[in-house]
Amino acid sequence: MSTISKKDIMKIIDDAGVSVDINKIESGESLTDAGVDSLELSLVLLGIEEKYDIKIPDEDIEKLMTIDEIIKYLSEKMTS
Amino acid sequence: MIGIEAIGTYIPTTRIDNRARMAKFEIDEEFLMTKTGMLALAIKDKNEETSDLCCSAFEDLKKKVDLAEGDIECIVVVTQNPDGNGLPHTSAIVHGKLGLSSSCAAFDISLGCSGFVYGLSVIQGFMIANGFRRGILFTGDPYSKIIDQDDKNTALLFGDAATATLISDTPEWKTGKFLFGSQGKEGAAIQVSHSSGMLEMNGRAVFSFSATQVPNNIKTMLALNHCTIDRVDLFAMHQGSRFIVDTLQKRLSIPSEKAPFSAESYGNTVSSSIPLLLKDVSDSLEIIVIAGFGVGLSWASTLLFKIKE
Repeated sequence: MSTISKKDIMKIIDDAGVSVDINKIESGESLTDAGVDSLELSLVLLGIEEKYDIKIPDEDIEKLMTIDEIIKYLSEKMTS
Repeated sequence: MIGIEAIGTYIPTTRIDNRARMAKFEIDEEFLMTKTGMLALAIKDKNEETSDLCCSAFEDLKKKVDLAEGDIECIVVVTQNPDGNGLPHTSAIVHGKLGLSSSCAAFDISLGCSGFVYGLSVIQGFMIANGFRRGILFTGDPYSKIIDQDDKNTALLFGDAATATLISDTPEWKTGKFLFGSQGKEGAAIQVSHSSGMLEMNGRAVFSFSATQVPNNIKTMLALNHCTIDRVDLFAMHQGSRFIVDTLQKRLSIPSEKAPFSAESYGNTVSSSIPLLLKDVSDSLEIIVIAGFGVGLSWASTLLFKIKE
């Protein structure tokens, strides 16, 4: 499995059609603080699950609030 | 051949204005307009029972077709919010209130948002097996009975309504092959709490299930019917929220005008959402997909073909 990049995650967020400008989201900024609403976040998480063929339990969502956290989470999942 | 001849509907006139609750639930108008899609919710009168909603839909049906109560051979009520505690079954209560014949069969089906599609298959199969010519499929699931009006996950979505679909041997629409599915292990995603008696919903779980299962179900159902997406004039999806209808439209790569959202003024009416959408369709349409999905988790779809004169 190749390294997961910010670009990969940005593509998933973009594909989810979020209503905010994704280029303005900082890597360490909470997606919800950046303006991604709860339904859009569900679509982002679904996009991650489908792309990486994983299941994200509800209790893990709080670990996935920023792009950096998503990359870290996925990297750990892929190597575990 | 039997199929759908006409659809009667009833939506209570009283509304809850969701705009007036935006501050309470910390949402803005943009979220209401583009995500939940429900600007107002229809709410039945406290004294109105599920059977009353069904009877009102029947009265509307009678305005559209020449229908004598004595000619109705069976009625089926799709509900999970029956009169009282569900005993006797609501269809029997409707039967009594409408003064139907003692030879008319009456039974309920316990299903949520997939209920209209399942119900169509069940009543048509029942009628064909017994040589019946006229039956009524009712949907009536007033969620106001089980909504905690302080629960953001559910209080902004659901509205009350009922429909009465005449199934007869002089139909306007015939159905294609049906395709059903269930995911019982995930059923807790939408359930009535044992402790509170109120509806609980895991919005993310329901959304993920809908966004993944429904497109696959529709594509497979179309193949089963030797039909393709581009030949379909309208996709009458269960009106769960604007966001889910929009998501399904994008995932199926269909034009937005072919997957309308029409529940903004009355809410998600569960098994009534598809017939409410169908009652207003243009006479020029020839092929319609109907797809219901939700409680169970459960899903079902089929095609409706316009019968040419």
